[in-house]
Amino acid sequence: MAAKKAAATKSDEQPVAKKPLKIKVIGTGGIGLCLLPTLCRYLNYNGEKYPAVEVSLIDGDHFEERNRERQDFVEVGPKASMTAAEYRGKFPRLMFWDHPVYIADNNIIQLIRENDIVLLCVDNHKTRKLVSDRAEELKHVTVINGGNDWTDGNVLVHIRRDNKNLTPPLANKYHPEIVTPTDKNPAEVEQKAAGCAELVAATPQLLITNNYIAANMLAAFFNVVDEKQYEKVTAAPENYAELYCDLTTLKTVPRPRKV
Amino acid sequence: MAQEQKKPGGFSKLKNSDETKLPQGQSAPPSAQAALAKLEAAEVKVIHGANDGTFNLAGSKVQTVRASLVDAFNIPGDALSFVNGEQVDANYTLQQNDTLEFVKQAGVKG
Repeated sequence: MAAKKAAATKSDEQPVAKKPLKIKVIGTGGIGLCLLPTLCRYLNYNGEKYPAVEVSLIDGDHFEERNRERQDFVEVGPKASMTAAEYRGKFPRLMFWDHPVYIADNNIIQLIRENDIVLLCVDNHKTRKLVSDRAEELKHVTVINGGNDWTDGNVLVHIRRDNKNLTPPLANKYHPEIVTPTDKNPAEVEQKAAGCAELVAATPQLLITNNYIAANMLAAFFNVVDEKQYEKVTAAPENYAELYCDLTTLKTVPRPRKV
Repeated sequence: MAQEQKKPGGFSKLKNSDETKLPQGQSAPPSAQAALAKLEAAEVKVIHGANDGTFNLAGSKVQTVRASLVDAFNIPGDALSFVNGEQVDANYTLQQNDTLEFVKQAGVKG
C-alpha cells in the first residue's frame, strides 16, 4: 500500500508531457515564406520548451520562376510540398506535413482542428472568412492572420479557449470586408493557380512589407506559445487582438478590440 | 479652393500644447484657467491604422474630423467610423474623451 502510494507520488511529480504544438501555415507565398524560416528555427532549437512540433504547410499554388522576386524556393513545383521537402532537411526535429491544396469548404474540417495554431498568410478575404467561421466551431484554437497592402498591413489574432472567444474572430464588426468578402477563393477559380496569379498581377507587393507583417505575426505567435507571456495575454486579451503596421512611419501599433 | 472645401475646419481646432502653456510662475486668471480646463476636457483621440493623435475636437461632427484629417492620416473614403468601439455615422457629434477610429480595412495580400 505504502509502496503504491510512493509510486503514485513519484508518478505525480513527473513533468507532464506537453501536448504537441500543431501549427498550420496556410499560404506559403510572400508572408508565409518570410515567416517560416524564423518560426521553424525557433521551434527546432527550443526542444525543451517545445518537445513535439508538427508544422503543416497548406497551399494549392505552385512556385513559378516569376515568384523569385519575393519568394525563396529551390525549384518550381507545388509550394506546400516543395517547402516541406526543403524544411525537413533543415529542421529535422520538426514534423512537417504538406497539403498542396487551397483551403475550401470540402477540406477545412480536416485541415483545421482542435488545439491548432493557424498562421494565416493568404491573399484573399474569402479564405479568411472560411477560416474565421471554422475557428468559431472549435473549442480551442488560435488564428494569427497577416495581410498587407503596398507599405502597410495588419495582424489579427483570434484566441478561442473553452468555446469562448478571448479576442474577436477575424470576421468581426471592424472588418466587414472579411465578414462579407467580395473577392475570390483560389479554390473557386477553375485553373488552380489562377486565383493568386490574378491578384498578384492586379496589385504588386513589396517583399519588405511581407517581411514586416511576418515579423509581427511571429511576435503574436510568441505571445501565445510562451507560457509566461501567455499569462499577460489572458489578463488583457483585447490588447493583442489587432495590430497595424506601417513601413512609411516605422510604426507598429496595437488596437485593442473587445469581444 | 478644393482643398479648403475638403478641410472646413482645417487644423485650427487641433491642440497646440505650446500655446496653452503659461510661463513658469505665472498663473492664469480664473476665466483663462476655466478656458484651459475646457480645452483639456474637450480632447478626442483620433485613430486611423497606425496613426493616432489627440485633438481638441469635442463638439465636432465625425464628417468634419474626417475631412480635416483625410490627408494627414491618409483616411480612405470607405473607412468605417467607430467611437469608443461602436460604429457611428458621419453626423455623430464627438464628446470629450471619445476615441474616434476610422478603421482601416484588413490587408488583403500575403
